[in-house]
Amino acid sequence: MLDPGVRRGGRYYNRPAYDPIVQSLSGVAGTFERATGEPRFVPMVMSDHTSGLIAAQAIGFALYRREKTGKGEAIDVPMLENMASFVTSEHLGAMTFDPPVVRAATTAC
Amino acid sequence: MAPNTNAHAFPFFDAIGRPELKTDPRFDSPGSRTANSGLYFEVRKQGLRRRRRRSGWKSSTGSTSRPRATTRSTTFWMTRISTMSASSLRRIIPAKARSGRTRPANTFSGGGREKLTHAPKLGEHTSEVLAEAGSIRRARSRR
Repeated sequence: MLDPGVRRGGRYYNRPAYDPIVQSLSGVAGTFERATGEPRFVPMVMSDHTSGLIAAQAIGFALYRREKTGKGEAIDVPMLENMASFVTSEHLGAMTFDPPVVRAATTAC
Repeated sequence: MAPNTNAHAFPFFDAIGRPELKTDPRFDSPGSRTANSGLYFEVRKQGLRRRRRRSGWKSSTGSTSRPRATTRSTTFWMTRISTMSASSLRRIIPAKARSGRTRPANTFSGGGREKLTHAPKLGEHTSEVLAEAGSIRRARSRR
């Protein structure tokens, strides 16, 4: 299993992957800016913990596939992409419709 | 900015015009900076308020491996989805409505599910699950 900071080939692939960096780039710190006017970090290594939990889950899925098929596989669990997905799951929701319901995105928090 | 080690913090102190902090016992080591994390945060906050171009920071702090990043807002990601490596929307067309969903963040070399299926109906997979759990007799009795 590979747990890089950023998906291989992504635009930020060569950046260092520290929790505050991922919080900044993924929009986690930016959610505070919407509420208080100032971006702030979550006062814990949330990106590290969350990515770790997701990685454990992905390993479980891969092990289940191995039980079913007998074949192992490689897994990429990039921190930035996972945290961006984590943040935008509520905020992006209404924009996935066609046409997007843009105003609904502001009601997430 | 997340200058943690002395290799990150000391050039950062130079970059914000506070070289004296390198010998300040409150900020001269990772341990002391942790012990004075509130003060250290204020130092970084005040220092970063001095507006500088990105190239200025880059040259001041040396290597591009310095831990720095722009704070992205959720609006940034939502309005620039097409440029993200993480999530380009894939349009799917369910039976009655058209919507998109983001590409999964994780990659499995064995492949992922491409064909979407409906949410399982009550009891739809009961026999299959029982059979998989080893209860063949119970699975057959339900057919």
